[in-house]
Amino acid sequence: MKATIAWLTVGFVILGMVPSAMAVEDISKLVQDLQVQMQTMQKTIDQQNQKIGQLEKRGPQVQMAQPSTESSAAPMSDYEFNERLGSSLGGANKWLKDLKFSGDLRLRYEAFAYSAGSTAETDARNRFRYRLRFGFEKKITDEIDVKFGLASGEGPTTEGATAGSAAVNSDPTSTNTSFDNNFNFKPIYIEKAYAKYSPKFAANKGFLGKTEIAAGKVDNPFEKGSSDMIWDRDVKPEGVYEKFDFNLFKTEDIEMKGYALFGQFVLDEDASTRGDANLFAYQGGLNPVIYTPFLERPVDLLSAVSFYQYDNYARNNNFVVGGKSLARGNPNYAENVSTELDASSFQVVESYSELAFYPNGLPVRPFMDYAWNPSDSAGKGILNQDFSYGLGVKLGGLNKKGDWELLTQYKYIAANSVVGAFNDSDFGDGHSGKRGAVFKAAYALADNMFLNGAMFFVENLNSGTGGIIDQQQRRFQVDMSWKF
Amino acid sequence: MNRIMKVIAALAAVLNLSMGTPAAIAAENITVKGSDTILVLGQKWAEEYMKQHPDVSIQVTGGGSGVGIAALINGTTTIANASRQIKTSEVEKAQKAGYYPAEFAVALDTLAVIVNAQSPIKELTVKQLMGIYTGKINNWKEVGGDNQMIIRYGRESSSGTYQFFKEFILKNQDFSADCQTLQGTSAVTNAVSKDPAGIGYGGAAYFLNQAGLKIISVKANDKAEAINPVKADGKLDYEAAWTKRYPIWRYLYMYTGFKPRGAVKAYLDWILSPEGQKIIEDVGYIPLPKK
Repeated sequence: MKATIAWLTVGFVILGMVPSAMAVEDISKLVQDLQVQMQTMQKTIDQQNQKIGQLEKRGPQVQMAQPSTESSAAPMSDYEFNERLGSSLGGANKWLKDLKFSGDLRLRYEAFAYSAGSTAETDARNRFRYRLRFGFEKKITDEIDVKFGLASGEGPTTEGATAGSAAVNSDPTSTNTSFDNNFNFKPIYIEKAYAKYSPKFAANKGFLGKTEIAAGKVDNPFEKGSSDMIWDRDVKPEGVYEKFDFNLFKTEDIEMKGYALFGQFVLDEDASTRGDANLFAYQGGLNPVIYTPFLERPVDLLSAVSFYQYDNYARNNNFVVGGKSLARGNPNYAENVSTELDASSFQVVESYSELAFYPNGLPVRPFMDYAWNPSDSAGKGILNQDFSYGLGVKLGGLNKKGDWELLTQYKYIAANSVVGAFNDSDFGDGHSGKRGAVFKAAYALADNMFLNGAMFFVENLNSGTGGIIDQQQRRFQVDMSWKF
Repeated sequence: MNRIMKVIAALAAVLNLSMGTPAAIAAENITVKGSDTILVLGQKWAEEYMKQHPDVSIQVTGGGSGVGIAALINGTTTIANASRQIKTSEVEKAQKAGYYPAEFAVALDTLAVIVNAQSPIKELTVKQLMGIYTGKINNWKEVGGDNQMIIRYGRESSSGTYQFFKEFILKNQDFSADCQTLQGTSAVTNAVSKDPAGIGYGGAAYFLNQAGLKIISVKANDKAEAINPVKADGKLDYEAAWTKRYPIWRYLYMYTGFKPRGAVKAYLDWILSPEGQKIIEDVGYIPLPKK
């Protein structure tokens, strides 16, 4: 037993000594490594001390940032923010308050072709044009807004204006400018400038929903729906208008709105005889919106009746601007006097109806326009030219990227029925005395970027009379436009 | 005859499959966008409704009332939340775009005015509040208080509460230069509770049972009765808002592009039901008066 214990003791001693011997070697190596590291660190410290000494000798050129002991600043007050902003902007922030800018740019390729020759512009044409519009709307008070807009347009010496004529733009129906004339600089015009008053005391009172009075060169309040038989979209009348919106009644499924609109506009102020030319316009409309069991969205009908009295417009050269006649398509063969039109007077009654319904959410808008000029003098010039009509349908609508729109329309515009100065300028070369079909398509490439195409197939009415030839005008347009 | 019946039965089965079944199994997606004031409430509604209707998916985002209405007009949201009524110009724009906004007033919101608990002020008129916050009234003495300068506390301009107070009380005038802008109603509560000369405003529900401050009564005009948005038992006075006797109130709205049907109608009906209106109380707004 004793022997056993002795052998175990020797074994433990041997086992215990071997690791001890190895640890001593490791410790020795570790100490050597540490000595090397300490020497290296000491060198580094010496170098840094040397640098600090050098920096201290240079003096306190660098200020050390002190940690802030204050809590973060409270947010600025509204007043303080505006004061600081105003200081930075030179006070412009007050001017910019309630100011809204907007505009658009359109680039257009346009081609013309004719079925037969005429005295002018007989060759097929290709042209590139742009339309730039830019403006702002400033809210002066809760009741008063001012709108101002600039637009491109043809200069007075191009597109038919006579040399030496007054330096004015002579087309109220177009703000296009052709790329032409060897890179010369292009003009810019006042497209609109007006103030609008919407009194609160005349709003939401009984049937009266809203009252609006505007004066200046105004956005055309008489332009309604999809038809351009009376008004080209670019026309901006000059004068005053008063509009009253009515909320007539409302039930679970029917809402009936209406409006009355009155306009007093200046056409030509400087007539030397027989008085100046003015337009007095009146329009009344009903707009029932009816929910049916068949469609998710309501059926929306707009029906408007208008009366346009163009005082002294058809006589005394009041339709001539800058040496260029605006009576485009309104003839003066009977009198054979360049200062008088055959219609003698324009007192146009118009009825316009447009229905909107939405099968599967697709907007479908058939429309119908009819105009009659009862003051077209019987027996003068070309007979039976006192009425116009247009029929069309629009599908889709452009609200956001991916939306599309199609429109097709047929128009018959007799020569003495409506004023050719102000209706659609793309419909043939003249604006009245035409009939034909229009096809348009549009696609929203982005929310504010559109691709449009249009085709016009128009022919002259009354060919063989007074030098009017039997001709068809074909016009093709491709547009890219951006709104901003 | 049997063949005819079989054909009719087959057709009926096909029609049932093509018209009925997909609607039954399809998940309905409803997007809600607009007022930040209604954002939390809208999210609570959506969460609760989706729990009960797993087949309906509702996404609620903010951005402001104008943003929501613009989205409604361009067809990118099903419902627009708004802490104001839609403007006539927006309705006209919507109609041109093929939308006919249908309005649903879904809740009421009142703002309370607070002063320090030590303040002797118990009531103010709307006109006096306008004077205080525009800087025309600067001493508590001018409105029946102690002779000390008024310390004004308000909210940051991005808050819906700020906008409402500015439109409704200040009639869109600028806040006084020395109005201290604080972030959140809790900061206003904290500031006024520590400042004997302080005055602040915020959602009435937030101030309930807060120490160190007092919710004052407000008079619509000099001759009107002073009304407190909180009852004697410490709870919001719904009646005062419903009857419009308490003057600082507004409706909160939801708009659809046209008269709703199907899942959207069911959701709006649920919001207007007692169950949906109960959530309004939980969030701190005022439910619509019971019919």
